[in-house]
Amino acid sequence: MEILKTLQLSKHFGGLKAVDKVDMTIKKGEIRALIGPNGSGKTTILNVLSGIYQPTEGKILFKGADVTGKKPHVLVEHGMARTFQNIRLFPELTVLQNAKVGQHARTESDLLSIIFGLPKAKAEERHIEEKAKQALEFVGLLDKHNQLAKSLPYGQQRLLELARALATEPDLLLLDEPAAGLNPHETEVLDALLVKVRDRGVTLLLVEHDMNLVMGISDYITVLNFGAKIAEGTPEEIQSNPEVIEAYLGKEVIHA
Amino acid sequence: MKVVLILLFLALAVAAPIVVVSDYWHNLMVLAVVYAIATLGLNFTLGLTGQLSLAQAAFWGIGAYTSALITVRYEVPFWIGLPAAAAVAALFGVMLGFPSFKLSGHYLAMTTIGFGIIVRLVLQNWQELTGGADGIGGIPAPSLGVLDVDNNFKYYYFALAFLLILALVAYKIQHSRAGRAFQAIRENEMAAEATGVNTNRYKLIAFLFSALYGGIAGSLYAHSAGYISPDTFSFDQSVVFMVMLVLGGSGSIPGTLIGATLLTFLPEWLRFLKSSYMAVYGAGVMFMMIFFPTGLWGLLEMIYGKLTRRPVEVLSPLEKTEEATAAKSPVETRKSS
Amino acid sequence: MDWTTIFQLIISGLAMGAIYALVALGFVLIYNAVGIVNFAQGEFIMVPAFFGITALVTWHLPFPLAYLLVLVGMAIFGLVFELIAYYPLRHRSFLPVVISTIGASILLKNTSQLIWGAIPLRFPGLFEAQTLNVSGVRIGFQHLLILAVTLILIGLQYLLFEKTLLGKKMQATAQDKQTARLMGIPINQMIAITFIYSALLGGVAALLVAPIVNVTKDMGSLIALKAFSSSIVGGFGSIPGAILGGLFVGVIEALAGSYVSSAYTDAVAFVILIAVLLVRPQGIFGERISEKA
Repeated sequence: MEILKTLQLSKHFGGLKAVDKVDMTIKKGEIRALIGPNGSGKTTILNVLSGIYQPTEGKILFKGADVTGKKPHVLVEHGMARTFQNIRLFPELTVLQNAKVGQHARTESDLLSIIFGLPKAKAEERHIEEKAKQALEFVGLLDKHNQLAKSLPYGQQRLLELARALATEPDLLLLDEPAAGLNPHETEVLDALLVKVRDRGVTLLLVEHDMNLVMGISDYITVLNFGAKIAEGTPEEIQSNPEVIEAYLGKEVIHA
Repeated sequence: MKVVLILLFLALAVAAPIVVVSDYWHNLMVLAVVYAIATLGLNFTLGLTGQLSLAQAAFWGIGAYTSALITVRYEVPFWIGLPAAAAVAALFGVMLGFPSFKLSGHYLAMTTIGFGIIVRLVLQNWQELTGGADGIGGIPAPSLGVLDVDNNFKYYYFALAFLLILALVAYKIQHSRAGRAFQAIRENEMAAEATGVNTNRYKLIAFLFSALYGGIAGSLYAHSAGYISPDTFSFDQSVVFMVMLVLGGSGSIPGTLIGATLLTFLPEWLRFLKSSYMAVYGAGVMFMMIFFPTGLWGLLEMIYGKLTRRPVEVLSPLEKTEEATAAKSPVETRKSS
Repeated sequence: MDWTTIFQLIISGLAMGAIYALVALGFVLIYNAVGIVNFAQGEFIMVPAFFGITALVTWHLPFPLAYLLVLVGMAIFGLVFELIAYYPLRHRSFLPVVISTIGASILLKNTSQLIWGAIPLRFPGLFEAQTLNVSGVRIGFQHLLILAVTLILIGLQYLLFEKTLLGKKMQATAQDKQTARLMGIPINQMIAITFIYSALLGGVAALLVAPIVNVTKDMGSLIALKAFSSSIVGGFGSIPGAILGGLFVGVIEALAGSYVSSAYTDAVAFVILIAVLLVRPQGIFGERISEKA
């Protein structure tokens, strides 16, 4: 089943074609990697997919529905979540509170029931706490739930962003360079976690530079250059694709 | 511990006008309660959601004038004046919420300031409606059936009841899904939106509550003072509310109450400074920002933490630095909500 | 259409607008350099106005000496202000600094009142309300002076920023501190110089406008708020924007104050602001308000 499909998706900034007529189809349960040299449009396309930018042209279909141009919070309701390249946590909130925000779109207590302390609101609050703690446990941060997010070391902050995204109960998870700044051990941990996430039924689309990670866990890879798709295939196919090698010209990184 | 503090606070609040008998001080106590309600309102926008609103005095004034006008001109009781004040103020609050979608920081601040100045000019110049610079007098005292709340002593307890209810409501909202949504917007708006929070909607709600509380405070003020005039509801007063919030502890309800109370009584206690009082006040604000940005409440929490030998990390947007992701040690903990 | 009156209003509007432009420039330069909005900018006019009165009236100094003294004083003031109000908070986020400048504003206003009293004072002008008569149109000498001086100042400033090394260093610091530091530019000095320059602009504005207003502790506040609005109208962060925004607001204010309603004159700047923010928030020349994801 196709979970995400883009049709001629484009994003122009004035004269610059950051994303140029990209067609992409991702199947449910896949781990798809999006790679390309710096400036190839990977983060931009992620921002368009997650609703932060409006596309200049083209369509986005998510689980069959046309979600082109919808705002990020609506996409979360549909089941799409993301993490950021530059970590965007809620620094002055606790680890647990950060994760709880993830449950926001899955719950609906209105202010009146909150103010009057109605049972419905209280039950929902308990539900939120449970789901948030599950997400934290999944990434291994449950014991730190009362710490302020800003006090976590870098690697754990990345894990918290992941937990928060998982708490939204997504069907598709967009990850923007999740391994950036992580040491080899932390990257291994992340590696294993991402596979576990997929095994729970979540489709992954990750933008990454770390080729070990990419070649190791991806089912399928899409390669961008100058905003356009230049290749698509399995890790083996991509590694031996001459156009891809040329795009990365000079980098030995492909031979993971 | 929390329970002890609350009981202590209640005891003090209830005992205060009995212990201190002069009507002059009772008047100040009423004012402190009114200010506290208004500042609690500001906490929704500035404290929780991080929206730099400098229009709180305008909402306060809109509430005061609405309540005063309809009770004086149409002879309806206070109990109609109050909800009317709240509703009209809330309407303006929502109006001011829309610019906050696209504007932030200084742009939003300037818009709210501009709004406040326009409101004051209207209050001052629209003679037929507001009485202009002469103000409105003869505002009736609220009536509780057999009892009229017609002196400061009674009014204090009357207003205190409102404050306690409103503080409880604010507390419930803050520690709920909605409160987390507000704070998420303050902490990182883009991430909040990308995590499923409808940021535009919550900004509107924040402004709505801010204005609602301001309007209620305005009505209470008008009916206690008996007379209101446009000068009271100025940009300077919005600044006072902001300082009350920040000094007490932005983002925290106890902090807000402390800040409002303190800054109501401070001019009295510092009487000996005479005319240099305001200058000292200004210096004090600068000093607080440098050394105690988490406000008095933050300071108290820190002291408490040291006393109980448990490090307590304090919640305040004002300590945020530009280093977004720096790791810190030692590890610090805080009660979650 | 009474063209004579309109023309007179435009001239006086431009003059007031030039004052807004000077103050707006002060705002924008500080904002560009350190990313903060200085809510005490109004006091950058109020303080030199009072100080000028002391120099001229109390000390009976001749005009040139008094004016020079005021400017030197403002240079020192700018430095001290930077050290006390900005420097300790230079690593904090935007809100604490804004609040600190508000505190500074309160401190300065009330200290001024302590020193100079609460009664509005008169600043001796060079021209004593003389006017120039050009075919029926009366133009105040002071207004002409304001326009002339502002024009010269803007010209000099352009030369400073575009043609001198110091100016280029200041621009570099404003655009990217890290890189500037790596290039060997002493950014703390540049920031201090920016504050000093901003204060000097305030001094000049004060010397120009004080003769035609009442000098009180609050004289700077409303001017500053309007100047701030003007810079947003012109496009916050842009120097031409600050200047054109100020002039534009000044003229519209003068015309609307006369033809629409004088009671609401003060509202004009803010009505324009709100209208602009609704339609084109980046102003005429403004910065694009967007974040990198």
